[in-house]
Amino acid sequence: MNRFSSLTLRFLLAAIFVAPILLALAASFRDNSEMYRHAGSLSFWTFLPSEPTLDAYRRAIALPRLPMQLFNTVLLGFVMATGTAVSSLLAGYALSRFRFRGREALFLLMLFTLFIPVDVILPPLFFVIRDLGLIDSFWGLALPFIFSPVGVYLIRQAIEEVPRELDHAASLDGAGLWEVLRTAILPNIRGAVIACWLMHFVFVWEWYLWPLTAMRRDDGQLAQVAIAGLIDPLRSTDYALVFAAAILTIVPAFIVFALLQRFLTSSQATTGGK
Amino acid sequence: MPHPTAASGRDISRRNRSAAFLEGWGPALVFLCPALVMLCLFKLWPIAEAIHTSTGTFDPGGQRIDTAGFDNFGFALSDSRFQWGLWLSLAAAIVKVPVQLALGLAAALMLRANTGGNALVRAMVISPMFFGLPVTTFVFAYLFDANVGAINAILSGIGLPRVAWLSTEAPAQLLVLGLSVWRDVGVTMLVFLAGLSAIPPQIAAAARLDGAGPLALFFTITLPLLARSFQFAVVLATLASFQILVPVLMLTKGGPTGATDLASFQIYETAFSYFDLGTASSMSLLLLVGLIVVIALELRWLAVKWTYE
Amino acid sequence: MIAMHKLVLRSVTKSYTKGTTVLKPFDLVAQSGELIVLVGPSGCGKSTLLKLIAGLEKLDDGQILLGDRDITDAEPRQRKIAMVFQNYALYPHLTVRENLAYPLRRQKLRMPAITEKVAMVARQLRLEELLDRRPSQLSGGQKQRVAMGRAIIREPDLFLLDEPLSNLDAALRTHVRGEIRDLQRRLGTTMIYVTHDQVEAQTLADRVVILRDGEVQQIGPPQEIYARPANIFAAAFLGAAPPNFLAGRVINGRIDVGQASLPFSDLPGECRTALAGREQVYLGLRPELLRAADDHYGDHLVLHGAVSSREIVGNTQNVYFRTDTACADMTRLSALAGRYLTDELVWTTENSNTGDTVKLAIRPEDILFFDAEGQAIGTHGSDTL
Repeated sequence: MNRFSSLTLRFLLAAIFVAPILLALAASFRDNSEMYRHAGSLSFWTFLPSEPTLDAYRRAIALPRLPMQLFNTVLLGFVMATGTAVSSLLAGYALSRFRFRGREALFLLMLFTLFIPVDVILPPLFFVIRDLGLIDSFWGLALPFIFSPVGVYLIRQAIEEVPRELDHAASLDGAGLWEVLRTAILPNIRGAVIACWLMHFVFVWEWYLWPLTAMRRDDGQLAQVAIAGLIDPLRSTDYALVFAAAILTIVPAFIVFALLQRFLTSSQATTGGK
Repeated sequence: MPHPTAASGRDISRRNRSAAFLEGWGPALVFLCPALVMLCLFKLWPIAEAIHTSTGTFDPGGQRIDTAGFDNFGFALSDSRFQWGLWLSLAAAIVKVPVQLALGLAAALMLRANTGGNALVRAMVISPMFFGLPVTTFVFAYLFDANVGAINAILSGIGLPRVAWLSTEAPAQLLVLGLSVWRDVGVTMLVFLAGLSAIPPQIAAAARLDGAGPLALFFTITLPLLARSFQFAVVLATLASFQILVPVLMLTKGGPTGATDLASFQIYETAFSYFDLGTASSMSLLLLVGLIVVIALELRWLAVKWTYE
Repeated sequence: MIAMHKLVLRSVTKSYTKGTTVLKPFDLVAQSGELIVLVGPSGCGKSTLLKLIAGLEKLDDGQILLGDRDITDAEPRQRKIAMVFQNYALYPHLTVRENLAYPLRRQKLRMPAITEKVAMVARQLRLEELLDRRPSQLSGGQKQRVAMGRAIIREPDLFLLDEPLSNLDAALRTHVRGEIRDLQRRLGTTMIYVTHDQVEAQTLADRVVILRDGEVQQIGPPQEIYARPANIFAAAFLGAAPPNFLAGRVINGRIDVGQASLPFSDLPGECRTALAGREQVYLGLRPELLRAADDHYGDHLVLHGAVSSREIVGNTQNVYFRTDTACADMTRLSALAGRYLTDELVWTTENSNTGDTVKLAIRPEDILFFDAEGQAIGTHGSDTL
């Protein structure tokens, strides 16, 4: 393959994944009537705003509940990320360093829960949260997913790579179980813990089904679920507003990701494949 | 006190046995506690709840009024709509998995060299994951909107008829599956990239010296050595193919005329629109078992018999 | 029936990006059936050279001929070259049988022919019992044999071996070394063998090529390089231990080495002329050529030293000692030798009762002389091609 065609192929590949996002970004700077006016025929302005405007962002901010819902998403992000990182760290430590009967079986059981997709288990999960009296509450949203098999796996693998001699040295120096974790192991798996935290933080922006089911108060709802209510594919949707609001929703995730991504090493992103 | 020693002896042996069974759990339990509680409450209990609920009948308020045995399962399985839903879910996997694997492998092969340009393109292929499923669904809704969508604009621009994507059967299915593949192909690519980088370069070099041309190299060396990546990617893609409820719920609502009436969508509707808890739970269990059977079969077919070292 | 395949490399050059040269123009003619050992420290370019010959990397400049074919731009699979890799590079998903058959299947040979050849090679290399195993079920030595088998089965025009013994333990290494030598002799196929181990170079090679920083230091039969190294690097590289290096000063028809002195008249003739007119020289004394001096060593160079430590290796003994005066600039010498050298001298002897001081002598014709740049003085330097 010559250089030109290989470049073209790469460019096409990138375009397939980026163009839709860019298109949505462009749509957020448009006026709705302008968008519909240019929709009939193919021209430059079918895709790009002819008169860029921030009007949609103004209207999005003015949506009565959006700020609260956005706050819910971000707060849930922090709670989920921190809760998952802490519970995975503790469990990973126990599963890697402690000897107890059924350790491997427990680890396998945890991994096995990966095979239970939310889509499939939604009703029974709903009943459990209802029985616990947590429907329509923030904790009802958060608690079911704080245990993360992926998090436990990630942290356990990272701890496995820390030499046991380090633990032994620390405990000979008088460290108890907690101090061993805090002083000998944690400093060596910081990358994995941050990866775990970040992954589960960003993961909250994936959420749709569970909040749709378990949260029926508007002001307790997550932003992305509320915005989905603005879409009515069979009638004319105000896409400018949808994308302005969606972009406002994504911005916090991007900021946090940009701040923390330098702690990630590429190895952590790819070890899942081995 | 008759036979005090015997009694205490039995006592001790029982205590020993349970002590042996629980050996080492003491300190471990402290650290395992948060994860273990959550695991039991929100992963295992729902399964138990599903099993319990599936064997009962409920009034519309959600109160259990009677025991139904396996009637709910029988009802679900004999319902032609649920049969269609199960078939549709399986068909989604049958289409999505090979397409996504082929595309992911092609992307990985194309971008395997570690150059700056490739890293950039890789990041772009993965990027849909960072926007979250709801937002990417908005994007596709806009892209494929019958009136203002870019796809229809392009179609009409090049002289093809516009398509009512969400109200025609095959296009609606294509849209939902396409979104799913588009979103997940990056993961598959990452899995294959990791697999490719795990192949020792000397093995490819040896094959080239042994007379393998590009095609033979790919089919006799690269592809077999990616077996583990294949296994992993297939399982991930299968799992994901059972999680395409979001676009269905947001855009197609199972329609048009049942074209996207997936089993998971029916479960959602049965539970939260019809409040038929018993049937919904039995449907959940059936789908879950189906998923596990599919994955078990895949793992069996794709079993790898060799290791590097 | 031995096919004649001579390998000719003409000013083969290779550099990677950023202008770092890995291989300065390199010339070599390997005669048909010859076993050439490329030796040098890691990063000297020997593996790169092997990859260039194999066609796994493109050369910047130069020409490669194999037999009567110009293979400079040929694809690896067209070169009829077999290679044994350091980590063996066996195909992990194939059984031993399939590994051996792989090159034959790529040649589109018929199945009966393949089966027959596999059986023959398996018998030759004692692999019959292992044919249905996968590489992960083999020991290091077995893997090595399979790798050799895969190389010989297609009867290549040239063998390339890249540190084939470095993953084996010491005992096995000696054994396999012998097997490789025998096999090569029997097949009569030209072989290029890369190693960083000077013992392998000495025991295997018809000719040794010593490389350093992409540049040839010396080419020649191992005994000749040992006896007449072209420079300090070659002298230090080939031999169980590097020679003891001393500084010498040429004055009035004699060489002063500390308090010891050696008149020109005791030196071989060609040395005498080459040394005349110089001031500073380095002397290299091989530890195993030193001997305890008693009175009748008049024409020898005699050194006095105080023993600092000793170590016993089997029936020989390494005696470490210092002479107070003759020390050279060790930093400079270490740079020339490409390895860390101290001013402690060593004497390798079978003599077991040595005292706290030693008096050692060496025959003048055993002394290696080098100039300030580390190049051999006299007729020592052998042919560089």
